[in-house]
Amino acid sequence: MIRRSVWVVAAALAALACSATPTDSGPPPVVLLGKWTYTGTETGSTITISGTLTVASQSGKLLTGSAAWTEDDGMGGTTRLIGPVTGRALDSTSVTFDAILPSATRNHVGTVKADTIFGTWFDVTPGGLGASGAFRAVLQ
Amino acid sequence: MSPRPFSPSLAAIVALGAGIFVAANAFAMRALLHREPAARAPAAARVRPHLPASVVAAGPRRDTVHTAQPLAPASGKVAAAAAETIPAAPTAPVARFAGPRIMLTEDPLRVHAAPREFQIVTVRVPESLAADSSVRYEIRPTGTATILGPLRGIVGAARDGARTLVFTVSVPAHALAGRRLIAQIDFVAGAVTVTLPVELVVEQVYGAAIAFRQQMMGVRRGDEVTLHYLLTNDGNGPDTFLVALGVPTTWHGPSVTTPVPVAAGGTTEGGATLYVPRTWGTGLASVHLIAYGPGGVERARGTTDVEVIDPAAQAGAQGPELTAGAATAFSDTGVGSSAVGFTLFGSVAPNTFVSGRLALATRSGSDVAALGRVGYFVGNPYLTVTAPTWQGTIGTAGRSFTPATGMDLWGSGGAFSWHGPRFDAAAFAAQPQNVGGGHLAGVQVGAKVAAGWIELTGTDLEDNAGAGRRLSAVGLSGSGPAPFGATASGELAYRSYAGGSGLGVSGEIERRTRTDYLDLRFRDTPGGTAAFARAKTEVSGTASRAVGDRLWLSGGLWSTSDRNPVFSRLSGWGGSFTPQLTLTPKTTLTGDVSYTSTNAASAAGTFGFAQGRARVGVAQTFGTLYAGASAGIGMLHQMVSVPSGASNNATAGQQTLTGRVGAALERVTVEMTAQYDHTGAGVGYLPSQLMLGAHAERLAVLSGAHSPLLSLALDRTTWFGMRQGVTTARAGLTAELPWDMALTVQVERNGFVTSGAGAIPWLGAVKLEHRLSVPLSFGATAARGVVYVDLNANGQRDHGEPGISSVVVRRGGEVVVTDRGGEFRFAQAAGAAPQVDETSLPFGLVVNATAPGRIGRGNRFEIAVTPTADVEVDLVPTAGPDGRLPRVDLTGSVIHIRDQAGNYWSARADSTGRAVFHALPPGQYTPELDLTGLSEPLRPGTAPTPFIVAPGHPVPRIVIPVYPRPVRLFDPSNPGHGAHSPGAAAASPTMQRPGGP
Repeated sequence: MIRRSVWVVAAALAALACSATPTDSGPPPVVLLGKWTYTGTETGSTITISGTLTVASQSGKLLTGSAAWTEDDGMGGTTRLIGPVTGRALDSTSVTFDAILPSATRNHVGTVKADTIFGTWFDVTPGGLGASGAFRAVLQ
Repeated sequence: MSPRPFSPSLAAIVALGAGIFVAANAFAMRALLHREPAARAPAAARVRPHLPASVVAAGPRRDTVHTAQPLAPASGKVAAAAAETIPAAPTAPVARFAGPRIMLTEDPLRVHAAPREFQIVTVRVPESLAADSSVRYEIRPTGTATILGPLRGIVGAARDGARTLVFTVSVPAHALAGRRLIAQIDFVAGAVTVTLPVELVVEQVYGAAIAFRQQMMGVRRGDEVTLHYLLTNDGNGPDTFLVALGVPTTWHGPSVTTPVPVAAGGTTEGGATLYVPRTWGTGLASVHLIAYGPGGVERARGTTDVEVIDPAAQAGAQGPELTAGAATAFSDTGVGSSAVGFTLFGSVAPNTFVSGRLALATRSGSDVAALGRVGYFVGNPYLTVTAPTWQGTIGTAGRSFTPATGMDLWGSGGAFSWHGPRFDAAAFAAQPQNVGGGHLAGVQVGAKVAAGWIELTGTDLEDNAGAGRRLSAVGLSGSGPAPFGATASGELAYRSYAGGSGLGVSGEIERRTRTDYLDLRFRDTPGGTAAFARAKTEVSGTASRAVGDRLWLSGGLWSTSDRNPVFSRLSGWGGSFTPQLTLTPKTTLTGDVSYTSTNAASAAGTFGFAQGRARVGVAQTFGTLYAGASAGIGMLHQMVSVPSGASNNATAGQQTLTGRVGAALERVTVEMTAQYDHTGAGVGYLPSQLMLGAHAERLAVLSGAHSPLLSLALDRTTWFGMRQGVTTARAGLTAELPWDMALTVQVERNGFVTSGAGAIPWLGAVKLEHRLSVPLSFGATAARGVVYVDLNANGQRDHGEPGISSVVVRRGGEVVVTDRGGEFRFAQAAGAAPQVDETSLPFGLVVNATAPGRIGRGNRFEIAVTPTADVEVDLVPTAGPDGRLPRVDLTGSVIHIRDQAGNYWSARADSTGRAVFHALPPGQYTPELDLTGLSEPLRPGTAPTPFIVAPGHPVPRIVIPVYPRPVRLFDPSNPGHGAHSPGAAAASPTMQRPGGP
């Protein structure tokens, strides 16, 4: 009985896991392609982030790229944050993107104004509330 | 010995010519001719050419069988043996003509046996002898093995089947492998004598033993030490060994020696030089040696301990160590970077240590992150001094007070803390390292109350970076024991911050036992992260428990909320359950079920994310190999909405597979990893991602102890066409150079990092450092000394008496190790005299307790160790006045020797009466015997002569004759009065009274 229940739950989870959302086709509401100079701060700490945000491709609303940042803890230590980026242009002035970093997935929500994106970021970690802060990216 | 060769004598030839021989042996010859068929003729090639062909052709067929079967030896244990039959050799006997007799010699009978075995041998009486007459036999042992059973006798006439002779061969324990003649059996029937040689083939038994010169050795981190060992071939034949060295991870040393041939019973001495890296911890570590025979069969294994000492423990008198270096880096920003750096570490006074770091860019605009690859973090210098009761830091300093009065404070300034038995205090003052400025100041004082502590804390904090943080707080906190073995702590604080003020409260209960862990925590700190707290509200509970020896359950729940100038709302909650089951000592199953939900709202929009996952994994080790795999499924939900009204709301599943396999070898650690993630669209991940990695760490490039170490890493991530794959390659090299120089090189080519033209550059950095000691020492003069070999045992160090390296010397809680000259140095001046850990002395050396040790009234100690000697004492049973030689097993004899101080040393004799006293210090000794435990009491003839052990001189074997005691006879006609009669024992052995006077 227990074994059957386990299989039923696993099958349900697997089926649900394979579900997906609709695609994002159509013209891009805002073109974000290019290299962006990225700077950021972490709330509640002395950490600052700097580096490059690259949007390598954009298909409709969807965009992909990479992040190559350096995190300075203000105490003499630096950490390189490097990983792929995937995101979506929500409309002509809003964008959300996620940097998949070794330590966590860093979600960004930003506003696009001319050649600048500014907004907030938030780390998704399984064990608790992650770090958060603000960022600014300027097109190079 | 070999079988006796055929050697015809002149008399035999004469007799043959006279024809007497033919007549006397006609019967025997006829029998031979009848029994040996013509098919045996080819064997005639082995016949000596001068023999009569008819005699040889008629030679008897050797058809002997010997068997071996279990036999209970004297000890009562059954010796292992296997039945064995040697088929008859299709050869004719060799005949020699000896006068009127026919002398025949058969091919040898071979008896196979192992040392310590008793082999029963059944010999069939040669069929060449007449079956209808009895056969006399005589076994003539050669002395190379013991033949048990009657050595001569008569085998009657054959009635049914073959006639056999049975005897037993006892193979000595130390019999060397190989073949040897152990006896010849003469069978005589009438005028025919057939001689059968018996050869013993001793099987080769393999064995080895490893002994270390020192049971334990001392070594400082960063030094090398030579491990001396003795390898003995305990087998009964020659053998060739490969000796493998097993050292802890990151140590260096030769892994395998060249093949070493060692004769049976022989011993060879070897040495292996080990290097203990500076990064290793202190304390005991095990080093093992394994001797392998041909084919990789393990013969012996030995383990010794190496006590690793912190070099700083001896540096108190020398001052700290300063490392100065320069580095240059080329980075993805295109900016050439260079810096000089200084690191200070070590002791400046007894129990007082200093550490500091300074890195200065030598070129403006240097990419400091690039220099971080080789450990140079430009700016943020600091200097910290740590003593048993206090610690102070200037430069970049940090401090956490309490959850409600300020956590994780860092800036340029200073920090000081003092901790006494009843009171403590701390102060911190710094300026945040940002362009906005600010100040960070706080004071804390505490006192011990009963079994706990209470502390009063006041802080005034301002950091103008970004949106800024501010807090002025005064708090009272306490901690102490709680019921059920728990520890409780709590705090109440008034907090004034930029947006208001409030009362901060925190409490925590922690209970930790061998099988349980529980932590409950609550914090409410108004102002949250904008006021130097970790959040506005935190509630969490974590627990784990061991269920039996194999199952470990862990779980937790948490909830957090916060707000700050950036986020108007920031909250989350979650939980996890993580069981771990140890199936076998090498196999572990793990599981993980977790759920996390987070929400954030800011001027940029609102963001929400939820994730539920389940994962199972298994980890397995195979010696130095390890492997692991896991599979997981999950659900992800992401929601984003922005002020313009646009939003994204998606839910998708995620499946993950991971695998890992690696090996932690002596000269390198290698690992390969793989991870595959499949994620539905819209939740922040690319649909399919495969990450493969191959890593090699601390690869010793050369075989020497100071080999440069190389690390290599290659990682590849692919997204199955969604985007171009990325390859990352890294290499690092660390090498110790002569003159205390060290080189560090790091290079990387990261596919995520591209130049302006889109190319992927090589990034790297090179650092060259030099270490030197700073002659800076305060406080009392350190104690120092030497451990030396007192060759003449006079207690004073004379010219030519060498120091001993790698000896562990202890004093109080301090442990140091002698250098190559035998010198040692303690950081603490006061205290008792240093004591040598005698297990770290080379075998055969002992501390000369009579030496004075301290030199004069100063802090110089000279510890004398003297060579010892092994003394062998032999008890030799000797015939008494009656001529009777005592036949007694001397096992159990106890031999005492008394030194001049009246101390007794004892050894027990083996069955031959030999006892060995190992490592006797120099002095005069007098033997005394205790022979009361023997089956027949013996007595020494005269009082044993004293002997002298002198340093550097071997002691000749001490021989003590022991005699049978006189026998007392019992006279039944006169009860109560015995009589001594030297000849009575032989005449009336039953009158002997063991245990009598």
